[in-house]
Amino acid sequence: MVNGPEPVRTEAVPDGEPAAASGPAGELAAEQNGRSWLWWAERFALLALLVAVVVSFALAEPDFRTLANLRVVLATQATLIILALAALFPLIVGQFDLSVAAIMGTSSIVAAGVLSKNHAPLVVALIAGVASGLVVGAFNGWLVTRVRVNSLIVTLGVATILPGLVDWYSNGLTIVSGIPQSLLDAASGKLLGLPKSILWAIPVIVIIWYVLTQTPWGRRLEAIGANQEAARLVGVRNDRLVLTSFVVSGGLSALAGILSLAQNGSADPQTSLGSLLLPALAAVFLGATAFRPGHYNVPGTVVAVFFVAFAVSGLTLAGAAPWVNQVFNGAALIIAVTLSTLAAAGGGRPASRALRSALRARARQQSAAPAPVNASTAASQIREDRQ
Amino acid sequence: MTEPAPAGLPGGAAALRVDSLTRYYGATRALDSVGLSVRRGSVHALLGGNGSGKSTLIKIVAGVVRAEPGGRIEIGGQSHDLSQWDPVQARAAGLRFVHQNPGIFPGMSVAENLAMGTGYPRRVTGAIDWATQRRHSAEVLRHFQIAARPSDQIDRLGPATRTMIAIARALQDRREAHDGVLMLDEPTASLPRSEVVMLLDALRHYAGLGQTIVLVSHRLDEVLEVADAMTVLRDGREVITRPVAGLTKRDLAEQIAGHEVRADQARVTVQAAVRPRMRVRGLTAGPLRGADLDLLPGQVLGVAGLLGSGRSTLLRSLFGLIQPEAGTISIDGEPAVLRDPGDAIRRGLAYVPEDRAHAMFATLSVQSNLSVPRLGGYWRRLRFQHAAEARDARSAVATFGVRCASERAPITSLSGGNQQKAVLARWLQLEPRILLLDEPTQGVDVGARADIFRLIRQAVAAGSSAVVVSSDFEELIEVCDQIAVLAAGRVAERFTADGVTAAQLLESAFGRDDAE
Repeated sequence: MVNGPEPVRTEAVPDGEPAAASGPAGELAAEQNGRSWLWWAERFALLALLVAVVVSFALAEPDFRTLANLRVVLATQATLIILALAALFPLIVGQFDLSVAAIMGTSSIVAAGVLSKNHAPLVVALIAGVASGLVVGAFNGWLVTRVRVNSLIVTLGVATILPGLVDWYSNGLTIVSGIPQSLLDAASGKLLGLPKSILWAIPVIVIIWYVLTQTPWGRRLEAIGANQEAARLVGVRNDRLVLTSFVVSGGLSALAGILSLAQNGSADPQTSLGSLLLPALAAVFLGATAFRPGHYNVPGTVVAVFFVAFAVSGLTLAGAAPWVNQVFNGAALIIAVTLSTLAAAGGGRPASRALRSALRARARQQSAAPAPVNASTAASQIREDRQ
Repeated sequence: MTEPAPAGLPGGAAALRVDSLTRYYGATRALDSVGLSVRRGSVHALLGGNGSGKSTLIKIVAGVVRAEPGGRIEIGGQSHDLSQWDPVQARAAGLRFVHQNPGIFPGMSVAENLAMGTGYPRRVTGAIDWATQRRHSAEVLRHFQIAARPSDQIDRLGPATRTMIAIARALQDRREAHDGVLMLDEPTASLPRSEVVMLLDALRHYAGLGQTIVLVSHRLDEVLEVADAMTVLRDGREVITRPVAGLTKRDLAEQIAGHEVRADQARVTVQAAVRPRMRVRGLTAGPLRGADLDLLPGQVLGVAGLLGSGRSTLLRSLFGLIQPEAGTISIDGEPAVLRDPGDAIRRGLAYVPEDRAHAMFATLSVQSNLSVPRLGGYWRRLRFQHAAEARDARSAVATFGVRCASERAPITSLSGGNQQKAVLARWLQLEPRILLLDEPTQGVDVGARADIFRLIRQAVAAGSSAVVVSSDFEELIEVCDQIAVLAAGRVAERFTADGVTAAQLLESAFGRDDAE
């Protein structure tokens, strides 16, 4: 119950911030007259950077601007794209999945093992590989939603267990025998001038984009990520959707594993150690600074993967030492996210508005005595009263 | 305990005196030249309804809120200016506060919790001297007669014991000094009855040792049981200060409410012969112990009650967020089992929670915030109908008067009042049969408040029914047709809104002697 005065009812100062300075009318004008340069800059900076990197290396490095190099970069990034999109699903609902890379390695070993040890038909091997990913994803999701274990811990644990099991199953040896030529043909070589592996990735990208932006299901995932409690109050079945996002994540990771098996013609148990985890997560975070800043999104993730890949390829061809790759990858992530945060503080994004309105409220309080109370301070007062 | 103090409370033995305390919020006088005089070694109750100024008074004495110039506080024989008073001075003067949520650290031991008040004793190396801390804790526990060991995990103890430990933590450095004052804000609000008795015994014991205690409580039985004297505030003014001895619960309620109240003409006993839109029988959940409620078609039903009376629990149970232990709900004559909000929504219910932070998707646009309960409806021909979504959002923004730059703007760019209107519009566009609104005008300005009332009335005129919970009884009278008062876990009484006063609702919420 609210004790004390009820400033909410008696205070005539309009609450919230749009009342000040610019006001709704001003914002409306800005909306109609086209967006500010910052609005565009923020959304398309990463894409512009990708173009700039490609163009400048193409101009500077003859080796870079060969079709062969383009094909190499596209071909090698196909699995990483799918893996990053796998990590995207749990991130959208506000959960971490650190097991994507381990699942990828595991599934490729499972599929290869079924082919080479059991001499099973290819279809059976593919089903086994994908199923292994779905099962691990379901296990993650079950622990997170039913038992309410922190997803970071669950998936970290799973990412630690899987390489152990893989090592036991494969005796630590790369599986090379028994991989049918048809599988290799499906993902190596070219079709229509493009590497086949990237051709496999394209439909995956499109389907995921479609599911996340063109179906109610994707919008509900986003709602959960924005506010779990509020999602529950509008009838969203949070637990079911979070569980599903882990299953989808596991399935896509397995797909990445099978693609890498088809590309390489072998399954290396070392893959399950998860060396691709951090690049995959980094791409998702980097991608969240583009197109829909502040929201994990499919095009951003894809552009982020290529931005890093082309930059690293160019640097390598320019003779940079191997350590530069790592440094570049990490620095790009930190700089992009920092700039995005700063842009949010200076532009029209929620964080900035809250900050500015808080500053204005404070200025008002300091200038006038007795202090006017605006709605946010009144609300916090009520919260205090309630405690 | 001590013998009853003579009327008027002689000031000579006052441990704490507050004089001419005034505080404005904007143009409202929250406290108007209030005085408070508390005798040393007594338990002094501070009483008043919502908005009477109790909390403001406590905050000013604590130094958290400043008073207008002219107010003075006298403690430990020294007089200070309350417009310059701060928390450090308050602590130095021996004032100690234990709030309703006593700030206990779960997962830590009693000794660790006690150390949170004073810091840990250290060894020469800088390491914590656990032996000394344990010895000190044992001594404190003995002094305050708390049945716990220093090594006990605090969450294994009963709620009354935890509150006693919070009190002991506040007072541990003042065991021998008797010029300080302990102020307790609703210490029993969340305790079951058996625990309350234990805590009250402890308070009486501490007062017997010479500790002065100021107690804020809504539970009038407790006040009669434990307090020596009382001060009643109403609308920011001190109404009376007198000894408690000889008073009845009814006397206290009338002092708080402001006049003798018999709301017979407004009380509703016979229900109309219409089939209720929603009928609730024997609802038992949390603080609710068999609540009955009838909501008629086209009715706005207010729910009044004190903190912890189960107002929010009632709405949450009706929306499927809490599974009741017992009781039945029927909607339009058909029994309804609401396992989750999805069930409730399908039955035509809509719920706006008390805290907007729990309803709003802060990172999403106004449009996404509006469309979220009806996403499935936009899925046609394997496409999400973004254009239809935008059209509906524009129309909802216009219909429900949500002021925003564009329906694409982030919802956080709206003022608090417009955010609340957007949350309301989310449901109103679905034309729900039953609206459940918990404090719908909390934290919004006057203009938005009027808009929200208008929206509720419009929805009801269009065929909805609404249940509105508010701590502001004036507001309930303004917006509702009928008001049900929750007390002791039940709907104690129902009133028609014309004819009842806030004071009558308040008195009813405190519970009448004859109601038990």
